[in-house]
Amino acid sequence: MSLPSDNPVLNAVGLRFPADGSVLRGAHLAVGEHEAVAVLGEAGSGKSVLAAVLCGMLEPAEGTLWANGRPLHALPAEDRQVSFRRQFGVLPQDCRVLPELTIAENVALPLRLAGMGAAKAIERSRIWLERFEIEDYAARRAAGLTKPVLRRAALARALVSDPIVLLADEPLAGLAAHTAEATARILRSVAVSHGTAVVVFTRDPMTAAYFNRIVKLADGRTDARPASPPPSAVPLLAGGGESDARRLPLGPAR
Amino acid sequence: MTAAIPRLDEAPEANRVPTLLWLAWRFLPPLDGADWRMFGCVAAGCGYLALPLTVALAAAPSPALTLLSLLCLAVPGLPVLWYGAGTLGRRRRETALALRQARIHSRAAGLTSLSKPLVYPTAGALIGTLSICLMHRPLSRALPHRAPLYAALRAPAGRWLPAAPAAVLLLLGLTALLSSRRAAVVQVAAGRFIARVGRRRAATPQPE
Repeated sequence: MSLPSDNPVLNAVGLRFPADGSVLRGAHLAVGEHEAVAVLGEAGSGKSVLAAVLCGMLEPAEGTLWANGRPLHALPAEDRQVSFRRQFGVLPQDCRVLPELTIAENVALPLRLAGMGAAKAIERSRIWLERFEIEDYAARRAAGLTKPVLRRAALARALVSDPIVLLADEPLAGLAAHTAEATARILRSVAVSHGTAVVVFTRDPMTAAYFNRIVKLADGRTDARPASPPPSAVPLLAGGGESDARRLPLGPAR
Repeated sequence: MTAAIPRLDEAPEANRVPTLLWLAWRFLPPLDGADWRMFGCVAAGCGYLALPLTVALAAAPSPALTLLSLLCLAVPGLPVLWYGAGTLGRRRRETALALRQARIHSRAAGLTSLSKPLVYPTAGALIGTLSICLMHRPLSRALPHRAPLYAALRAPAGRWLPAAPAAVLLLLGLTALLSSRRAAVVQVAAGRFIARVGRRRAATPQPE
């Protein structure tokens, strides 16, 4: 089986959902290593459904989905779910962290579930807490902490097991401007330093402008071509992208 | 061909059970004031309802008048349990959602989030059944011989033993039913209805 594109980490071609195409009708998305892409669309354009299809929560009626060279659409259902769990980090719009656990325990949870010892998992989660500038909250219970801290903790949790793709639905919604900008900068820097393909779904053009490339989604169709070009990291904002990202403290590099 | 990114974490599907058990344990203690209220309502409601339920099971089959008396006795416990169970169900669903977002399989997330809904009503129901099993003799002696509950409370000792776990199981089932999504919808509708009736009464002009 040959790949439909040059070198994308995530390549979705002709996604249709449901069978009548009332939500997605031939959506394409190709994201390369080191790339942070924003999928921009109005409310009801199919962003959340596209995110759910890309992270394996919904099964498309048509289309192919490749992750890191593997045809996920061709795998048996059980293997596909395991692949999604291992390779994809997901931040849903209504992201939740467990209020009974500390922030560090929340972030370390995917590692512990993958079989890592508690101490080692907490140690590794600390790197991500520092990266997201919430290390001061590490030992505090999530209950009662502010939304920006919880959002960053959820992002750190999505990234701690080192996914090849991060799918984040409205990750900056409801954050103050400076917090949103800082979070976007961290996400871009993660793409640069870890090679994670970052895909952000948003309806806010200002949020989309923080990322390297914008893919517009309207009426269930994206304006992207089915076969994507090689990954580019051209920042849309002056002074953004790699140069900004390199000023940040880096987490565990690949 | 796509360049494969080297993975730091290619651990096989490890044995997740110890971590899930640890999570279930961490979910048990009440977290804040609302949690303590929920715990109080569920445990007290189950504890209270366990009294007439255990008597009904131990004395079955009972005359209609005895059953009616036990039903009337049970009524005050129901709204308390329903209120607590509604919150308990909401918390369980939130916990399961957070676990699924941490990439835990839906079934495992559902089972792990069950620790509170299993332990809180069981604790209350156990206290209630134990109390009535220990106290039914002295209570029957305190009642007049013609009281509807007199004969029920004097059921033979051998019948209380199976009645106690059966009552606990029934109360667990009742709590699960009252904490379901549908029960929550009914609870909200009932709350709105009561509030509307209350407003109408308050708006009625009072005689001077």
